[in-house]
Amino acid sequence: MFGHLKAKDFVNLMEGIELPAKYRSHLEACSQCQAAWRSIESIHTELGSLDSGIPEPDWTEFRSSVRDRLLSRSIQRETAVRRWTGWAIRPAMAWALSLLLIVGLTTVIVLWNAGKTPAVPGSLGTALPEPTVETIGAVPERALFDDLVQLGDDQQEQLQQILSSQK
Amino acid sequence: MTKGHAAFAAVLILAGTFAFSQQRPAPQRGIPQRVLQDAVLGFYVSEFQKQAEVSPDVFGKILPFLQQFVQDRFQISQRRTRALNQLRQAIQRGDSDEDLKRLVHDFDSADADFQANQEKFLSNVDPLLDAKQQAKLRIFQVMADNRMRQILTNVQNGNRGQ
Repeated sequence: MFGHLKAKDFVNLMEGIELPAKYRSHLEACSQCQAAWRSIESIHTELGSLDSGIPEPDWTEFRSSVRDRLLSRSIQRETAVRRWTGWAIRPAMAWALSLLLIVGLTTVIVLWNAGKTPAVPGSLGTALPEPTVETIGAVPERALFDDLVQLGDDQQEQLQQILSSQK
Repeated sequence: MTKGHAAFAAVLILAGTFAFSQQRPAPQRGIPQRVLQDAVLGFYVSEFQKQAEVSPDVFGKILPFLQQFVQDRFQISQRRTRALNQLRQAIQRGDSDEDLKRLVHDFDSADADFQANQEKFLSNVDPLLDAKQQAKLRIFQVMADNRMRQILTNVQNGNRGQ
């Protein structure tokens, strides 16, 4: 006597595997095994309906997405490489620009100071300073009385009146 | 300066002006030239008083030298102007070198006399002054000349504009 159907027998039933004749006779005669089978079968049916409710994935979209991701990672890897090599080049350019700036500034400063350097007195090409008004008029004026004695009568009278009014 | 000093200085100025007009040589251009010279002397005396800051006693001693200086300056300027005009005329006429040399000598002589008159005035007056007053005397000469030039220019420009 084999007793009631076991779990593996029910699994075989669900998967559609043919049971031995004595197991089928027992299932038809035994109410307990029939109840168990109905319960299992209903659960199996519900599970089957759940499986049919899950939409089929779009494999074309999936492949496209995977390809895009792979390409994106490839590009990112490439950018990272360029960034890393870029740091090797940029300091050189920065140093070159700094050097150029320093040389330029030094040249400008040297030229500026050269322009402000006082010329050696008496050296060729050095213009003599213009005399100031003070140095021009620092002695009694020689031509002043020359002009006075050449005044006309009217001018003499006018000047005499001005001088008299200033005393 | 007290009122007494001012009055004394004014008397000296008037006396000096009167004496200067008496000592002056015969005017070349009549009465207006003499009046002008008196006015110019009065101007320089007045300016000297303002600048030099000397006591009336010292001022009284300096005044004759100042009068002589201004008088000689007028005479020298008349000679110099005359020599200059003669030089111009001689060149225009095409006078001989000998004549030109004589006129050049006259002009240079007047120039030299201008400098000699200046040095004579200072050498006479300096012993009467201390160092500060001597310095102010030099400043006075330049400032008075500048002021006179300013007045003269105004007169010349005023007449030119008429």
